Amino acid sequence: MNIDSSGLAGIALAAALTENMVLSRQLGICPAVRFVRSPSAIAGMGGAVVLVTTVSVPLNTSIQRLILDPMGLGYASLPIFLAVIALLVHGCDRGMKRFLPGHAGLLGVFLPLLTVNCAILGASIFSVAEGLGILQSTVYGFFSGLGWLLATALLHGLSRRLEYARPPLDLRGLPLLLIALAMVSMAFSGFSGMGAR
Amino acid sequence: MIDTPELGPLSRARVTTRLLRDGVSRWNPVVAGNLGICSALAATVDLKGALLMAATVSSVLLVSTAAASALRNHIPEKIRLVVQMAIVSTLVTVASLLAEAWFPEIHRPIGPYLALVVTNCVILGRIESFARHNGPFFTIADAIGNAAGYSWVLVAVAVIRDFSSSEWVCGGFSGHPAGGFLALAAVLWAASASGFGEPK
Repeated sequence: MNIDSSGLAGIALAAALTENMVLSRQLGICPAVRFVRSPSAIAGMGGAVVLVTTVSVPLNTSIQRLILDPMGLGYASLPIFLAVIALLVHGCDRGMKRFLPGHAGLLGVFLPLLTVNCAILGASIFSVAEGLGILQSTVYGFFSGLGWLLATALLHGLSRRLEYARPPLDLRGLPLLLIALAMVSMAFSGFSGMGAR
Repeated sequence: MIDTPELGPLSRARVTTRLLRDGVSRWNPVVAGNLGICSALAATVDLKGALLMAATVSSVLLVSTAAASALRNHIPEKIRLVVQMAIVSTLVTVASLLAEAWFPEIHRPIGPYLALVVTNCVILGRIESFARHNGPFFTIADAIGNAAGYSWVLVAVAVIRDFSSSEWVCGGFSGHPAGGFLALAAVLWAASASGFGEPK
């Protein structure tokens, strides 16, 4: 985990590729596993995730550094981060129901479930742990959301293909998808050495 | 006597043993429910980390489900989720601070992941599907069963990862995330084949 302040491009690359939320940090896998629908649903969910991470990560980082830490309340960050994310997801939910009702119907209950998505909360936690500044954390938030979308879309395509596979009975479902995940993860680790040190 | 919809009338003892047993085997949260995978992958790089993660999740699961169950008739429906998340996040903060104080060396590599236990699907799943509707006694039994079920899967994955330092597959399973995925796949496959989880 060495996202240096080696420039915003380095942070962006690290967030999206080398330290990809799903494939490297192993977070936010649940929607990829359970939510096998159409590509446009994945796009809708990914858009919501990107929006929420882009806003929540800098917001949470600022709250932690400017409000909580100076008051000595650094440990109380979890409920506050969750509240911020929940508000944003709720806003996304309402916005989608109003402006993109078709998409909202596609996503169903999975959109409010983004509140407890490990990837979104994880982005805030890692951003604070890395000690990123405001602009850096915005870039980090945006690109980690984008990386999540990339990995989830990949996994989604994989699981659709795996439906045609005929593995042994007990490998069906999650174990097979995990093996596929392992391959993709190994492929993505080929990106390391690019950008962030 | 308790009348359960699918099992007919059962004694309290019977229901309790069933809850304890099923949490480990038939309704194992990881094998059958595919919950809690994120932490099962991230915290299993070595055995100590997995034990710490399992202990954290188990303790938070027990206390939060007990609290949610005790309060179930007193929480207004509109703010139910908010209250549940408040309970879980407080408990996770406490557990995380305790872990950092008592086991600083083990805590360090998995610190952020311990904080992420607040979004662990096992805990939220049990609160939503069981603690909300049942009394504290059975909720605790269910929580113990699920905690045991989650813990054994975590330990199994960690044992594979920690002790496989051989060179025959990509230098061993231990450090790389791909190893985690493969080790978990292996454990899930073995568990499934041995009859854990729902029959397919």
